[in-house]
Amino acid sequence: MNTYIINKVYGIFQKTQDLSEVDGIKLKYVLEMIINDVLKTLIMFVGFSLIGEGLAFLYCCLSLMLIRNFSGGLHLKTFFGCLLFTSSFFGLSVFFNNYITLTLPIFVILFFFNMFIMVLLSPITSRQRPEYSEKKKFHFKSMSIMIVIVHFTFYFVSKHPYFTIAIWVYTLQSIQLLITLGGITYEHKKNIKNAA
Amino acid sequence: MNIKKILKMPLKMICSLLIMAAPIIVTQGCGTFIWGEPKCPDCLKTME
Repeated sequence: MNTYIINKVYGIFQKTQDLSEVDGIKLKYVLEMIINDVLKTLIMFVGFSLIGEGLAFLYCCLSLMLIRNFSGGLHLKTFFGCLLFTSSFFGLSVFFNNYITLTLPIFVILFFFNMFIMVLLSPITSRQRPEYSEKKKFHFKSMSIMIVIVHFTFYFVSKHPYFTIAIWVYTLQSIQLLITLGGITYEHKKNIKNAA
Repeated sequence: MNIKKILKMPLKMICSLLIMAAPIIVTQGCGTFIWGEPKCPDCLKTME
């Protein structure tokens, strides 16, 4: 369904605009990104709203949007695989937020865990993206660290539900970075074994 | 002004904005908001 919508929208632009080949490629790429993301977000929003967690979902989405762009992470190949994984990720964040109270020791442990992972692993770029320079990677890493620090600090000051959920989202994002690194290491070892 | 031309103007603006966003997406971040993303085209890979 998502491919159908992307092709339909792309067709409208192609028919009405005088696009060069390069512009056409760029447009299709952006449309794929936006339409896929909007569709997934809408489907999940409806799902979470049905169980009465619409607002919590929006908080999850906003906090993840901020860090995901800089820390990178796991990428699944299919639309539904991705939708399922993302829903589980947000579901777990909401579950932790509802059932685990953020006491000071937990807060401190999560802060150091998140900082440790972000400093060590961020960013894990997608294979679909170009190879970034060290300077750019450092910029992404700094941004991820800054976002984590800002959210943990604001949680301490305001205790707004957004910051509580953001802390769980960032913790799961850090775990997800660890899993991604594990996957990359496994594939790398497998490739070396196959080549030998 | 031709009415067809006027109707096409907002589409042209949206189209230009989307095309302009492509290199920004690739150079200013290393992943999309949510999981899964399309393959970056070669014409954008050299932009970093």
